[in-house]
Amino acid sequence: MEEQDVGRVFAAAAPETVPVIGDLPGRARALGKRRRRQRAFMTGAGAGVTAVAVAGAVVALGGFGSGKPVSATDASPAGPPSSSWRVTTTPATPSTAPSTTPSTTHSMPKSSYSFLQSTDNPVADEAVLTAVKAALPSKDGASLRLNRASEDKNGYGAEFTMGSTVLGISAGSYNPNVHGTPSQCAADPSHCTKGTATLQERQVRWEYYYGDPSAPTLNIYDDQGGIGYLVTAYPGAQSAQPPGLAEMTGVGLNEQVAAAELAAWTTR
Amino acid sequence: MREAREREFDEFVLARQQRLLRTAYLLCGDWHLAEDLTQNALAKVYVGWNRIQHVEQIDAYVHRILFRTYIDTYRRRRKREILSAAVPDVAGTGIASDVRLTLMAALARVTPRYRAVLVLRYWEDRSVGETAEALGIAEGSVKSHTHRGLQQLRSVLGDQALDLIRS
Repeated sequence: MEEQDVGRVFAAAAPETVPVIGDLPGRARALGKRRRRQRAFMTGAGAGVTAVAVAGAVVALGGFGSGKPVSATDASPAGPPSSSWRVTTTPATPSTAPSTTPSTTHSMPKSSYSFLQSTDNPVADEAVLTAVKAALPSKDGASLRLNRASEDKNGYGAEFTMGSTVLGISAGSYNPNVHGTPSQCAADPSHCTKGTATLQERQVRWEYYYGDPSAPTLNIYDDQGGIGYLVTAYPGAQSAQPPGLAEMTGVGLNEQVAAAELAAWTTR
Repeated sequence: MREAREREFDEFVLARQQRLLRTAYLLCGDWHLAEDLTQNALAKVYVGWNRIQHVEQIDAYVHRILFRTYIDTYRRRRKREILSAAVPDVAGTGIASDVRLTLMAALARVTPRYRAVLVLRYWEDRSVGETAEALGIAEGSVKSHTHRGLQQLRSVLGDQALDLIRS
């Protein structure tokens, strides 16, 4: 495609008629004022600790914010997945009970998650980085870079560049009553594999969506704990072999990764 | 004072909302998402209006906010939303709806980050440097994203659609 063709594509695709939106300035002002109040509230809530009503209009998952590199971290190979993964997956068919029980115990966030730690925390970043590195597929572990979340307060996420694939891992608040099962699996179940597992001593549901081969994704729902985990690979199309089900579940259902993300995210 | 400031903001939005919405639509491929995106971006503008209204190139600045809001929103929601390839629900003129459908479907298949780069480069007519600055990424990334985005468009559109566009 010639570059001038791209201009033609946009010129042809761009709508000539734009729908009229009623009182857009007023709506933007109202939303801006609400954000300003939230910001003032958060600023006044204390050093780095933000009180957030989880049941409010939170975004369930994927809270990476704008992301910014924190270090050129560690280009050392990630090493093989830990043999101590205490993960049981049950592809395709939901099970009624987990087949293994994790022996590690990690402090869990309070059930309400009313206090969420600021995500802009280098120490927490390093904890997540260390844990995730241990869980990454060794074949792609040669070039890692951590981007830490910088905006969202309702979750914690990290992104890693692995060759030409960016792997994103995050944990955040999830309210099944509010969010339902907000994944692409609901819209395209034919490209979805589901299962259950035990993570952080809770039974969780997971959904692996591969309808978009360039960006497979794994959603993990801890309905009881109100936690959602998300593992994404993006854009996988340029990769020789984008992470698949085994790798995604391996990373996403890794106890150490989950513990590190929760520790980084929550505070008491 | 406050009323004057709000009036200035309203006038600013009314003067630009059509263009912002059109750009947002090219990014999202869906009017409702475009509306949300535009509103969110303008809310950010409002929060910083005292400062932003004195920015020298305010239009470029606001567009930068729009694009960064798009990227952030996408990254936050990317696995929960289905990008729509639907035709706009307003009457179009000048081009057959099936061609428009083909084009929007093709754009919807382009990875959002690449699409943002392509929209900036070829719709907003920004340079590599301006695009990099708007998205907060390196110029090298802009070049590689452009290359990959074009590859994706080419693979989706194919020669037949390109001939239609050229004609």
